[in-house]
Amino acid sequence: MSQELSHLSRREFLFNSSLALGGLAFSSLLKSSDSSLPHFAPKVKRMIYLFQSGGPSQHDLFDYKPLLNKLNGEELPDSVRQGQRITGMTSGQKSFPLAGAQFNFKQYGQSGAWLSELLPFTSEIADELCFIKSMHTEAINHDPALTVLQTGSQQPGRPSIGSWLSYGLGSGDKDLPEFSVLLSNGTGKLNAQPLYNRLWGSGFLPSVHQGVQFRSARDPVLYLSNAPGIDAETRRSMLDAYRKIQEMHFEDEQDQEIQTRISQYEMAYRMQTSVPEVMDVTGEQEHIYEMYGPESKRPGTYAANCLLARRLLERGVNFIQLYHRGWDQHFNLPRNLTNQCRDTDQASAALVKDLKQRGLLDDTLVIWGGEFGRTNYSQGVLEQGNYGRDHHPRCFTIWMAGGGIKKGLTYGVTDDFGYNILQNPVHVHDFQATLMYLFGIDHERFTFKHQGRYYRLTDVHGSVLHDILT
Amino acid sequence: MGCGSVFSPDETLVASMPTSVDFNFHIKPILSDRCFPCHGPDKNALKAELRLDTDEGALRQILTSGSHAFVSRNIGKSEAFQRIISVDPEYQMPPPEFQRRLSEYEIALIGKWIEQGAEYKPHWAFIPPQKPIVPSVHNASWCSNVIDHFILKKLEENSFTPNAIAKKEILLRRASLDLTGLPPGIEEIDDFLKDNSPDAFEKVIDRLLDSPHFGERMARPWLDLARYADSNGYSQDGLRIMWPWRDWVIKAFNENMPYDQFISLQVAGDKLPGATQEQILATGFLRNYRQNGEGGIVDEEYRIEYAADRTETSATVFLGLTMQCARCHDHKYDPISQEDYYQFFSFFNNINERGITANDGNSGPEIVIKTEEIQHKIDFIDRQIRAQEKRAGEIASRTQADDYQKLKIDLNKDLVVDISFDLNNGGYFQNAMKSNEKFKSSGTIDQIEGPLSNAIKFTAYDWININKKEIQFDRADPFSFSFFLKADYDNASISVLNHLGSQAINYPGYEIATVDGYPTLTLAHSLPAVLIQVQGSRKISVGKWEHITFTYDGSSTASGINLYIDGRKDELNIVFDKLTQGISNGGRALTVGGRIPYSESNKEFGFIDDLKIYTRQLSGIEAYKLFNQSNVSFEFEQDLKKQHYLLNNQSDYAKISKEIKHLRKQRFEIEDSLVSVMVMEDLPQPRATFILNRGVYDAPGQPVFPSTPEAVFPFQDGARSDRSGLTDWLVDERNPLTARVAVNRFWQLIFGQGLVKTSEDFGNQGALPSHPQLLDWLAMSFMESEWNIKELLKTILLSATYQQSSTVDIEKRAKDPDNFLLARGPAIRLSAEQIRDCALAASGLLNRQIGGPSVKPYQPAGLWEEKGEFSILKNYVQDTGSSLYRRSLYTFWRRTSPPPSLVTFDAPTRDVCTPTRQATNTPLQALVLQNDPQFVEASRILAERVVRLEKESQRQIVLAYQLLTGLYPKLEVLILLEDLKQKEMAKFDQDNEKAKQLMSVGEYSFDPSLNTSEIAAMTVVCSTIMSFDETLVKR
Repeated sequence: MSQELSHLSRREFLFNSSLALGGLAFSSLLKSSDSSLPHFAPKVKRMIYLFQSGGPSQHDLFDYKPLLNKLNGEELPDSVRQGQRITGMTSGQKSFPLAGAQFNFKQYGQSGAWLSELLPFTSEIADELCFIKSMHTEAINHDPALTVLQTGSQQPGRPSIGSWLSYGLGSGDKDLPEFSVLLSNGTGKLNAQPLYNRLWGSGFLPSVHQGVQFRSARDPVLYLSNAPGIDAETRRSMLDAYRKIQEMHFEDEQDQEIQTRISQYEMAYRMQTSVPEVMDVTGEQEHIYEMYGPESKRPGTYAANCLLARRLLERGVNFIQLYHRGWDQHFNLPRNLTNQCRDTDQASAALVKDLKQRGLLDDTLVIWGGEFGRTNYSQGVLEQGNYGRDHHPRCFTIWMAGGGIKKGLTYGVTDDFGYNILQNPVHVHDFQATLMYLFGIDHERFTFKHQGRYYRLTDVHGSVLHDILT
Repeated sequence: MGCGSVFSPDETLVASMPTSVDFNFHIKPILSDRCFPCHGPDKNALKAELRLDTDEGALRQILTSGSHAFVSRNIGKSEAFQRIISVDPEYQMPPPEFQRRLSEYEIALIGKWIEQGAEYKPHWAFIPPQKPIVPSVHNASWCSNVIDHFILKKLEENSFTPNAIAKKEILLRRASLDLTGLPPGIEEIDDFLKDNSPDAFEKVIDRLLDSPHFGERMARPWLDLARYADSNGYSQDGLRIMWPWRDWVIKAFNENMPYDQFISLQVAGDKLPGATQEQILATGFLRNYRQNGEGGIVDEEYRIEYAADRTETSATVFLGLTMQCARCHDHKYDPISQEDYYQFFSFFNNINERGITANDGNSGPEIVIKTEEIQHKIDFIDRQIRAQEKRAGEIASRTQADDYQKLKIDLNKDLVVDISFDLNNGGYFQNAMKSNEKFKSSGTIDQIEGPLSNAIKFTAYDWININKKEIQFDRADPFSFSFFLKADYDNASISVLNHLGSQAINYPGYEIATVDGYPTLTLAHSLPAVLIQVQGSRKISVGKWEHITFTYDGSSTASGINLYIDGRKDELNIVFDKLTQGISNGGRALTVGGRIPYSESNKEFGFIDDLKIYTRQLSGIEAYKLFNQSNVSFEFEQDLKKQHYLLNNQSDYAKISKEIKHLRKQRFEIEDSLVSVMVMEDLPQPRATFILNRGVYDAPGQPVFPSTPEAVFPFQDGARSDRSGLTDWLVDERNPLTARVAVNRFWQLIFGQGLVKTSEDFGNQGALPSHPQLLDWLAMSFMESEWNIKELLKTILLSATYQQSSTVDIEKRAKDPDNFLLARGPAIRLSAEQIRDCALAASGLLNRQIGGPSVKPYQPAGLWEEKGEFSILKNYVQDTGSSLYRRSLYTFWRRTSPPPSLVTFDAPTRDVCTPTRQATNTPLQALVLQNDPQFVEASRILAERVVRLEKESQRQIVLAYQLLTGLYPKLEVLILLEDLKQKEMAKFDQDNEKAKQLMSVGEYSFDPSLNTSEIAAMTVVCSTIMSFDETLVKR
């Protein structure tokens, strides 16, 4: 008790002295968390997230499991599955035959990372990359899995990663949108799983932070081009008249929103120049096209989007997200996955190389990965030369590269069946916490109050993976 | 030791503090935000067993240190206070890692509150409103009605003066937008300007309240709350039909349905005795949530998600409660326990629906919408059917025993499939009725000895495909199925004959199965709610062959079905008898065996022999003959003979049957062409509800029963424990929230923000009312007026508060930037829908049709196509003609790819309940107004309109400006616009091709009698005005 009392009196003392300073001591402590961003020195300023939608098969690309080849066709042991729930697509199967990858694996680079023959270009940059083989999620279907990875919650309504970053770090005074989104469709699957605007939506954050889609259509940004018959000169005349009249109107109304709108109209006008300029790749040199591959000359392809991502980045767009559909190989995996890799392998690797040669990789984060992994057993009948794989949430592989990321590291270990994680599991929220950390953001402090609650990207979970950071 | 005298914060700080510190208004918001997460209502998160949300915990509980959290008039002894001000990280509260330190002002407030006595009060919003005394004010002559007294009182307290009354044109536009969402027309402007009578504005309000567009205006925010959309959300995001519910909302507002009735019907209209179509339709409110058709999801996981959405949306919309926070654990801020959540949830957990729904189309309980005209038609056909049935009955009663002593029995008549299963020919089985017809099997079909030579074994993986046009039965087609069946184990659930379509289309078709051992026939439009399902009275015997015959008469009712087991008629148990639409499924093959598509089970198997399918209803005698195929003669009962005679041997009866079938077909064709809407309908037996641990579907805890949060207002003893009981509770005048939340939202509609700024949260984390007494006065008056919405709005609009000008200088604005005190009128950017509607209205393009299916106006190509291809919504097929110009309320809302130009102006995705919208100001909005064909076309048509109406150029510009802004332009503005026009006209004269291009935007054809460059130049002017603040902002 006496200890308590003395404790209290010490508080009392501190209290009195601090208040005597007219509250200065307090104010310096009470800075709001939002205005304190970044919370600590950032390792990166920019992000290109190469999202591989559908769930790329880790067994056939990254996570080499010779045991599966040995046991090819044998039943998945219950001791491995441990009663884990599986999707309604294979829960009705009579048997779960293990399916070894029908592709050759080799080790690459100084780091000796294992990669499949489907990724010859990625193999060349293996020493730049950090492979996380122990990603896991609770979701077993596309919609919730995509949504939790992009927003931290399986149910729609929360802001996406890019929106959080734009909200926290965006300067908002550029000629291009802070958070840009590029979509492409793979050749690996007809009827690929759909994408949804909400994956790059701002949820309850101000809508200026939603991702702006850059498209290969006539208007790369919706409604960018002037209406037919309206040329740049006419537009300028309209804007000049607009500005004069609205400035007079501001004199009457004295409402700041009027001036904001005038400047937004000027920004839109500048975008009409800056966006076509970024989209116009004619200035790119031939050897760059060669690097990204032949598809890079076809607008709207993954390769063209990778090149475009670099161009956006160079022009100050800090948060760029690509979505490439078609990784959902339930059936005919060998043929379709080959196509899917042909779409993406060369350009993904080229982007990393290109950023590096331009000195941009050091403060850029590049992420490659999908929403979950695929099963070690075949969906449908396992045949000679053909098999398919269902969704598997318990482990999957992604890679990261760039500022703050250890190069040539393979992190996390799965069991010999490629089913469960043995070492260093990385939950979606851990991944998100780490991503935020790289930007100098403490994921627990970066919140937004909505309907009475402080929301954050990582919900109420997540720890930073210091092991993979430099 | 600690005493008040050392508490000496900064002087300016002291000056800015209220003289009397109130727990609810000043202290609790701080404690709630910083302390309640660990010292609040959530029992599981409670630290040091200390609660600061109750006076018991905060003032009386003795802490381990021996002191109290708060001690009246003694900050030194108030341990909580000492910890708040501490800089010792181990002692400090909130703990440093929590990152929620209090500001100096907040600390000073708490200090002052302790010194004033540390008085706790219940949460303001849970104290029932009392009608307050209208406060007296100095400048009473300013007041138009009671509202103004409350507003002025606060203004005077804060040394503010109200703003001058707004200009008449401004006022007219403001009221028109507020009550109809449309700008005033020229005639309306002129009329109002000319009318100098004292009640001129009241007349305008009355006119606007009577406008059919009033309902549309009120419906728009309600659709945001109700998360209304035309697609299912989630992955495939296919088509759904809910627009008749949207039209119900418009109609209800237009008819000024009292608010209590308006919400009661939406929650429980179906529970009213003899509920009408309209009353049931209203419950579509609770069915607007997203539904998931993604293959392979876990059914129960999403079914729970849907019930949770109904629960949380209802709590937000009707009560302003953030009940979602109590789904996984007790609420951290409000007195809502997890048990409260699941008790409330159980009201909404009883409908017959599945978690996995269709890719496209509605799921769960539905109602077919019949207009009066259609109903008359159907009644007419029904009368004819009844007349024919009466004639048939007369024939039956005239029939004498002599007539049917010699029965003709032809078991080959209308027999279309006859499989003996005797020969398995390389996986093919012969149809005995057609020499070249064989049916292919899949998997491995084992043969065993059956009652008649060979039988086969079928499983979920080993089945036979019977692909045959004649057995694609719809509900008007009579049929009979007959076979021997054996199961080797108890309670077998086996799909014997399966003709149900896939999950993607909600399983339409028919199926004969054993369900938990009971022979079952299902005729489904969609599972699990729109179907007929009947079951036999007993389970099939285990390990024994039994003969089963199901017959159906084509009546679309359960009474038209008979079951015969071993030739003896069985009593049927009717599980569902609600087949309101057809069962065709696009020609799926019938399978013998295969998986029950909607069941998780797949380990089942059975044995079948001698399958016969008829395209007519067999008689009982025939069913017996199929069972007992020996030629032993048998004396049947008279009524069986009579039945057989009538069904097969009586020619007049056959004629009448044919006529009835024809009439039924007519009726069904009408019904099948109608739209149906998802509505509420409870299961006969309420589904058991459990607390779900961590909110997870597969972690049920203790069972709970329907009830409401005690802290708000107790659920009354003897109240019905279903949704109808819930509505009684909601609209009970003692409920402290319902009326307050409602009037606050209407206030928000008009002023841009509510008296409680967080209209979605009246709990501890929500904002406090700016004018608590006014809120209560409005709530009480609203209830006294029998929840009269139009009267409430009229009162608000007639107030001097509303009629103030919104124009103030920067200094005055800076003193109250959010217009919290209402010393000026509202200035709000128009909603996305209003911006588009105003452009259409000004140009004269607006199609004023009320209601009907949603429409697809202009949208940039490829937006749907680039996202997915599973649904019939794969391609955006734009409408043409007048559908392009409907009000934006009717624009087709696809959740995963919502209308882009509306979303740019902050329209929500409608994934979840959205109580408030933002009003951002972005460059992308400029691009929409400048370049979206909808706006370019509207500018062009507006240009044509003014040029046609006025000869002189300046007068044309004035008219365009007036049509868009409701105002007369200032001379300088007019000059600048005229300059722009002249300059552009000269340019277009030189380059007429450009003018023609501009004239080609949009579908509406150009009037060739007009001068192209003149219209083009005028289009440029109109387009410029469209972006003006005067156009985009309600001032």
